[in-house]
Amino acid sequence: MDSKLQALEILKKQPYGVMGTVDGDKPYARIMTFIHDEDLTLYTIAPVHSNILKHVKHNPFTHILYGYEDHEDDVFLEIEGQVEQAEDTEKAMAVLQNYDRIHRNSFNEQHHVLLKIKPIRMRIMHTTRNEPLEVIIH
Amino acid sequence: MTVEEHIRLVLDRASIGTLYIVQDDKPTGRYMTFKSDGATLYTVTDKDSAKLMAIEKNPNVHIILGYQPGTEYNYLEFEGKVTDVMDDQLRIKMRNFFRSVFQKEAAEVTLLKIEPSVIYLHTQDGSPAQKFVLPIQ
Repeated sequence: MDSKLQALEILKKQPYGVMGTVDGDKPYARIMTFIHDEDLTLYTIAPVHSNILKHVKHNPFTHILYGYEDHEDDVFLEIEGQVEQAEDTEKAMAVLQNYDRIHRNSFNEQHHVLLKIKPIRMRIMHTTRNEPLEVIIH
Repeated sequence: MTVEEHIRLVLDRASIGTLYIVQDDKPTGRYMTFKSDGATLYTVTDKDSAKLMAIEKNPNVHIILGYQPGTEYNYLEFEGKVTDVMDDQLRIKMRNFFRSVFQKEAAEVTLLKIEPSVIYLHTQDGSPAQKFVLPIQ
């Protein structure tokens, strides 16, 4: 199976990941809900008045850890990406649906923004193997 | 139960988390195994790695520890700094622990000591995180 299909398999495993941003000289991260396209673009939503939104406006780079489940022989993704705001009600609704599926509460912010994450580099990591597998994105 | 007691419960239960640092003005994270001593966290990284150089330049770190979706477990978020390990006794104790976890020789890894300035206690029921500020070291 080629690397892109393997990456898609991991993205399908679960609808959340840990998304890192930088504010000034400090790193921050939080658990976010995602959907993805077949071309490996990711989408998430953030409240209008959120730190993550402030961070990516100044520094659009993100690093996402995705798919780790704490198994003995686990496979997960390390995604370096660039974040931009997007307008797409359908995608925003799809993210909200995923959010409701995994949380016991609803996303309690009416005013949210859709964030689009274009991957710059993606690597498939194995907990028991040292060499990561580079995903051919394009 | 106090916030401190809840934090202690997560620290006693969880050892896997994410560690984010800033490298070349970009965030970069990885999954790590942590061991706590009070509010201080310890973890190991490969010696002479690019990550280590980045940490020397900018010691600010962010950690999420103990997140387990599908459970009702709380999890923690730490803002802090990597500081040196000064205590040789503790260094040996921690290295022995990580050696048993990773089956690696102690000489191949470097121990990181992380001192948090703020800890957030997150619950999975959607209520706001509780902030716990630590005294300045």
